[in-house]
Amino acid sequence: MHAIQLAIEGSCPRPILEDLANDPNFKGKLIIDVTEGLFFSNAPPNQENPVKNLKYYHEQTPAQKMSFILNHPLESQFVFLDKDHYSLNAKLDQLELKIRPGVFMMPIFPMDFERCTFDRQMYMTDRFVADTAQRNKVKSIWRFFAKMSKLGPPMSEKELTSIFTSVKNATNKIRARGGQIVFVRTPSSGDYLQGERMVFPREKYWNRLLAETQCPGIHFEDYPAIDHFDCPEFSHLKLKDASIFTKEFIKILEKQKGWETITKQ
Amino acid sequence: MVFNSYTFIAFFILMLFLHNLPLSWTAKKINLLLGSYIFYAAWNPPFILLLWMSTVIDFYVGRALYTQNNPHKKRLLLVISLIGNLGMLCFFKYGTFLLDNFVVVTNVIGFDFHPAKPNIILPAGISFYTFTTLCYTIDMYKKRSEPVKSMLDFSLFVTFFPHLVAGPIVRPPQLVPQFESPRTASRKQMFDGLLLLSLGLFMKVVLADSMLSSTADSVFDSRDILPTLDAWIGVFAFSGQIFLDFAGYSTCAIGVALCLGFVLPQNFNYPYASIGFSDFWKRWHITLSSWLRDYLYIPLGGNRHGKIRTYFALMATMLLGGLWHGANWTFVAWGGLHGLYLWVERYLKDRRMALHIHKEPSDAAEVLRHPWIGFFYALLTFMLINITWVFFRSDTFGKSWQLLQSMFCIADAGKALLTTSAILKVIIIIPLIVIFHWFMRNTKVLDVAYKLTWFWLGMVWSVLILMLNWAQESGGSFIYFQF
Repeated sequence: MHAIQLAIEGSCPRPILEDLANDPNFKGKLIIDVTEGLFFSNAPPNQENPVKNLKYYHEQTPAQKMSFILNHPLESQFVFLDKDHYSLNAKLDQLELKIRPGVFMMPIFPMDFERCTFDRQMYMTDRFVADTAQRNKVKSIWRFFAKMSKLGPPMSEKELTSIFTSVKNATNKIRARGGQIVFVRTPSSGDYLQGERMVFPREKYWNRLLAETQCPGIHFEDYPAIDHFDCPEFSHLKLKDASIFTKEFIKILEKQKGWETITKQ
Repeated sequence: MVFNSYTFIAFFILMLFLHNLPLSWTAKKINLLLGSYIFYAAWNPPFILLLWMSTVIDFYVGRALYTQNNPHKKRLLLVISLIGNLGMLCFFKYGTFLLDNFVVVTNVIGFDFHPAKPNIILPAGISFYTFTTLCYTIDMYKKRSEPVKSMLDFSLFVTFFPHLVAGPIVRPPQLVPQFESPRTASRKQMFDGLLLLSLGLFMKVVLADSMLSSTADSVFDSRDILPTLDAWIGVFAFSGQIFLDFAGYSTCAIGVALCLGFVLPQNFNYPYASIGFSDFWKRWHITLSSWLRDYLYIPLGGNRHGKIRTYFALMATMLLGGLWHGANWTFVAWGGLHGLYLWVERYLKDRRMALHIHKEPSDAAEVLRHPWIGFFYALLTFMLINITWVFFRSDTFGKSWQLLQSMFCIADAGKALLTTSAILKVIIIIPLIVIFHWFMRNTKVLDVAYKLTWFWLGMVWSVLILMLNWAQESGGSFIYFQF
């Protein structure tokens, strides 16, 4: 038994949760990260990649499955260009030509911020952590996204309730089959955490989520072992801290939430 | 499987290896046939049954049609073939469309009818292989060629993987004789085939997918009125994308077949350098337009039964040709607009003939004498074709009208959508395509390749491969697979 990374960066996990809930064969253990700005978002851009990936997963042809099987040994033996940073389009985007007024252009993250391993674990490099300019660039991107999210009307209570209801229904389905679910609020820090506390107060979001779903939750602020991390760009842990966090998180799962030991990868 | 995928590379290497082994010709044909079935099954295995059904019915019906002398029985056999082929096409491709329109009609006349929505999957390439088998049975009915002697050769004719899912639509005399004698690719054919495969993949992966598709998608998926610049850039992007995607596929198909020693017909001949719309349809999807001419336009009367019949035959052919592309009235409108263009062109031509003015801008000598006039007419043709692409790409007439309003400043200018980079890609690539087509309109790419020194050919080929590696982001399918 080993953990499978299903999360897609910068996206809402609810479509994947719904898909697992509707899969009668799934009755395993599920850890769901709750980054409030994404988890409680109905904005189409935040759901685009999960929806697209799920569609691909369900509709992939035998040829596509074979391509994946062939790709596996190739990617493990050869060096490939990182398409997000080295493809022709990525290089053209990095020219950062003057933006036309009113046109949205996705900000470009520094390459050292989002390296990805073969097992789909993303991490930021030591070079990124040491580079103030790169860290400040990512912080400015978070500020940009926060500003964008304020342009639309705030979510109504009806819409929020419907999100809680759908998550509750999904978690109930999985647990009725014998599956186990735990929600986790991973660390953030600095201005970003302050902003999150203001826009997504814990009582209205995190506490209500646990109450309505009756699922256990691990909030980083509740455990001394994991409440002290300083995120280099306010929102993600550096590699060394991520390892410490993961070890402590597993201990909490085992000792306090009664989960069986998860095999090391 | 698509040509730009690891699976196809592995498959193609295996097919080349098997085809060049010292086996009997029959064994090699069986390998090709099994490989072709695997190629098709790689999309959706159960749909092999449709291919078999189409193949078996038309092989035996075709043979019977050729030998049957009783005109009533002959007609009955033809009807069986037509019902079999077109019935299959109608069900899978037009089933939902027909039902939706039936519901609209019944509701309009007062019946409250709301059937369950059927979930019909469209088999890849059904429009193409159906037309391939149809032309065989019709040719047998008219005794235009001899029946195919063996089921193996006929099956291979229908199923041959390079042309199976998106053409070129091949006629029996073009391909079947090539199966009758052993053949592998000569050194020149292998060289030409690999060059065409590289070129086709470059057109599709680098230009269509990487440079143009997202711009076209952004504009055509927008629900808002757009500024005129954004609207036109989106339409130009799609005009480049549809050509590069489809011509890229055809080029790959021809190249792959050539590597195996087989010659498929040309499907595109620099259509964006067309002077007029008759010329366009001799250069765009040539195998489909010639199929429509021979099996629809001419049987409807062609230009042999007076002007009114000619105009009717032209429009009917274009409308049905539009419908062939997809189960949506917007495709019919696309075809209808082309029909209208052809009408106007024919009317002007008839008027010139009546006034004893014999000069036509499509006359090659005239173009050579006044190349700028020819280029102007080609540009005009290109711009008018861009308007037709609005209907071809839009899902609904509402979206088509919205885009046309944006293009021609009929509505208040909307919010800018496209980035500077997206605009620059289109305004660099599209004019280059048009200019390239203009200079290549009377030649072939392989002829030009052979005029280059080995150094320059090597450089160009290397650039194609390097750009392919650089631009490939994912294995996107070809647009015409959905038709």
